[in-house]
Amino acid sequence: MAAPRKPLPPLDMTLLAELPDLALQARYMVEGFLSGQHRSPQKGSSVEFAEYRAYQPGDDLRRVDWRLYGRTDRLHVKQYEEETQLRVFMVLDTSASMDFASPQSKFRKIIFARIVLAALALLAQRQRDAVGLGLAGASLTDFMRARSSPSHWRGFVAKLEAVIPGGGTSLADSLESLAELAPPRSLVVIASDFYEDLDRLGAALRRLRYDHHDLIGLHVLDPLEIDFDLDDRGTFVDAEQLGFRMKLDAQAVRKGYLERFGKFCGELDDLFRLLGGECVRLRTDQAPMNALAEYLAHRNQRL
Amino acid sequence: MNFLIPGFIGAALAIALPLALHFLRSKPKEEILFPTLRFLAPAAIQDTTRHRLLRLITLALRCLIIGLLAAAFARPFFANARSKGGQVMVVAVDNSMAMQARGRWEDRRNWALDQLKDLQPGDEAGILLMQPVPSWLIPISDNIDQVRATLLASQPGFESARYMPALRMAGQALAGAVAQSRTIVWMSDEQRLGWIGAQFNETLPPGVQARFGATAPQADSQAAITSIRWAYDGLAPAVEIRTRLYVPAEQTRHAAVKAGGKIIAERDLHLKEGPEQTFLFPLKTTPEAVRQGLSVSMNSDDLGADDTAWLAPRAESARTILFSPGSGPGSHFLDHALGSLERFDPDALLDKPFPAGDWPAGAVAIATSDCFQPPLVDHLNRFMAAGGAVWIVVDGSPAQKQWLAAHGVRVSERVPGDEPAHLRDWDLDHPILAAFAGQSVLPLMQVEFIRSYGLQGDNLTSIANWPDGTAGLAELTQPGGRVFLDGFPLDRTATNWPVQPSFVPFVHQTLRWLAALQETKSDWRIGDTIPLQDRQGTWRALDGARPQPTRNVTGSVRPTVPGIYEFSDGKTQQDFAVNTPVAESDLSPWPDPNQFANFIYKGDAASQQDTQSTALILSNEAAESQQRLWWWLLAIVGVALLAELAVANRTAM
Repeated sequence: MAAPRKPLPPLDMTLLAELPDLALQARYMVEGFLSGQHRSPQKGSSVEFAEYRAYQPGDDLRRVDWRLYGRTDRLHVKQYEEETQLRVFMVLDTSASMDFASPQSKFRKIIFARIVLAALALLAQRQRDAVGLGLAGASLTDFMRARSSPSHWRGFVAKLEAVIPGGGTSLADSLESLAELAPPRSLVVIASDFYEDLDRLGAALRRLRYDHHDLIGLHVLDPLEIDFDLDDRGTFVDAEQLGFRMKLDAQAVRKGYLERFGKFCGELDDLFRLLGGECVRLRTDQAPMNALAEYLAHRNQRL
Repeated sequence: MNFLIPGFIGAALAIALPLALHFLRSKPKEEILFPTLRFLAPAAIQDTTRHRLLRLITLALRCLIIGLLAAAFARPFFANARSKGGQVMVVAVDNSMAMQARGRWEDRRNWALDQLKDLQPGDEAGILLMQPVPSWLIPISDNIDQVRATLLASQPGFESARYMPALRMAGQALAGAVAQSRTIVWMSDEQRLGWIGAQFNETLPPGVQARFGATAPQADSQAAITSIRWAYDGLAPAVEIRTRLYVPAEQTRHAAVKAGGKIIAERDLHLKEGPEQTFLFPLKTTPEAVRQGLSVSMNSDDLGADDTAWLAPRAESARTILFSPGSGPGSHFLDHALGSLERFDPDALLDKPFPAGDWPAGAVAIATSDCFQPPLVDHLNRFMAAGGAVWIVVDGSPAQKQWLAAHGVRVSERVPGDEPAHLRDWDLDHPILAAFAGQSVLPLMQVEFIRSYGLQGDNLTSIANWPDGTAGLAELTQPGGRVFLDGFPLDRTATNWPVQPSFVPFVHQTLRWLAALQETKSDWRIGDTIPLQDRQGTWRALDGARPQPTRNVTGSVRPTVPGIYEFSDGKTQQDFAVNTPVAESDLSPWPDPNQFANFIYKGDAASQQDTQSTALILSNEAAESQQRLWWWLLAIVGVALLAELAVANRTAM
């Protein structure tokens, strides 16, 4: 029997106020309507020289490099890297498993993910990047196109605050839907616990990567899931399948659980890595802004 | 598995404690919502199963520890063979000759086999033969099949029935057995002879039961040859038999004398119920010619065993006296005395001179002074070594004195007094004085002795003494042989006895005793022990009721089958006829079979139970003490405790 869904509390904006001044950069070239701080595959006017190209009739004569013509007696046109606006699509897993918080954690997983996504959206907003949203439930719902206007950001936040977790999820299906809706070369940020069949999830991620999306997986986990530091015996109830319950001796099954969970995390990391993305594990007993800042700083160093 | 103190087994109920703790332990009631059980399910199936297994092992170990402790305190033991608590039966088999009566053995044996059918595997049984003395044919064991097979293969013997010793022995054996049921199966015809002298107020040990079968009915026809001997029909040899008819009142039987498988005489016997009747069978063949003896058989009746009697040939040497007439003074008196009865007694002693070679065994030598001179002294020594009998007439010769001194006899010449001496202290129980038993001994005491010799020695048994206490007549105990000494020459210068009326009977009786004619039975019966004078030899059946193997015997032999036997020590042969016991021919049953019930102990039942319980407890304690299973159980408890600690630590929360 499914538990009655309850709305989440409003976003704690004080947390967002602690968001440090960090950049959210795409690892790959992105395509945007507006010029921005992200490299674009399009060659246009910019300060970043890209290459020379032989003049062709119709080219703007202002872009001819006359100095090179003087040296080589040939007409060449200078091409510059076009810097464009980044489209960031936030995907939030709204499954029941995300509505979990152990006593050790500070947030429920979905609240933690919601704050992180809101912070990322705020960072993108500050960079005048476009932010879109998709809620991954049984299917992709509440899809918001990527926009960079302040009003859009408020709508984005409103959507996050209206999220009601529960039920099962098909993250793979939601991502497949997102691939259909999102324009190519976007940054797709997925906040989820990824309790999904990895084969199906891999297929969906490959579909996104085929469209040259940059992938970031925010693996939001409760410390209890990671450490399984539980001594009690009791009836364990599956959050997504409430009828699935098991009487377990936590201490007895801890070792086997950790082995299987570690193997799952490793396979998930490998999956993102193979697709050129990255998966970052976020613990809900951490301060979300600190965790996010640490990740972004680390990411920016690598780019 | 038995327990000496089974009450402690109740402590095993404490097993309920760990069981209750196990099943009633607090179950996890808390519900833990967890994001996903996908990583827990396999672990749970594997680990929880293992954990549950460990908990079950722990539970089993705890239960085992409690159970073993309870068992150890209950002092377990494996019941030994004699404490199984089942049934023990002793089949007391009357193997007397009367059981050979027509149909008795088969009927009684079938009845006993029927009784054995009550036995179950694990029960015990044995076979006790009643005759000649109670003895175990099959000791009490759990091999019941062997008991049945042995009983089926057994057959009655020729002994006389004696029941009480067997009943007592069976009762005592069963008294020592520990079983719920201890029974004597009394396989007998309840012959009156067997119960004569029985104390019917004597009871079996408490708890021992006895099953008596039906008393055998009186026979329809029963007669027996009660004795047989050589006789004379005038001066012709004959065989004399005595018969007795028990039933019917009058009967005519045909009887035949067989020798060497041929009938040498036969006649009809008109038998009448009552006292013994004597019948004579004149023989065409002389007894001496019948080298292997003979048998007399009547046509058979209900009990055929006593319808045949055997007679051994008489050994010629048994009545041969080696004597040299004229060998010394007074010898003619002896010669006269020996020949005085030849005209009247067919069994008269025959005197012969000493042969040139070895003296024949079984003869009696009258040794005067010349017998102690070479070469006769060598023959004498060999004759003595072979068990010969010698009458030594002490005459004071140096060679005789020396020979006697070598045999432990000191000879001292008595000083003649003014008056003739008289022998005194007569041992009237001695066989040589049997002719004077019940008569006045005055003729012996009036014999006068003028010259005499006193005999002394540790091996001497005095028969009559001189006034000075030395022996005048004495028996010398000699290995193998028999020696009689008289301390006076048999002539008129020494004594007036040769002319006294008592002299001839004295000489005859002494010689018969020495020749063993007097006490050597010619009519041996089953149950008798035949002395063989400490000789070793072979005992061979020449004829008999059943085939008998030849066997080596020493000293004596106790035949169990009637017939003619030959004993041979390598030098001499001696024949013996052995016949059935006379009393056993009376097949009359005991008149009051109800008396047999008196043997059963009818005391306090609780006392029987106590006796049985005490025996059981003693037996159980002995078995438990020997096996010490409790020690092993405690050792296992120790190991189980260590295992429980190890396993429990892995399951402890």
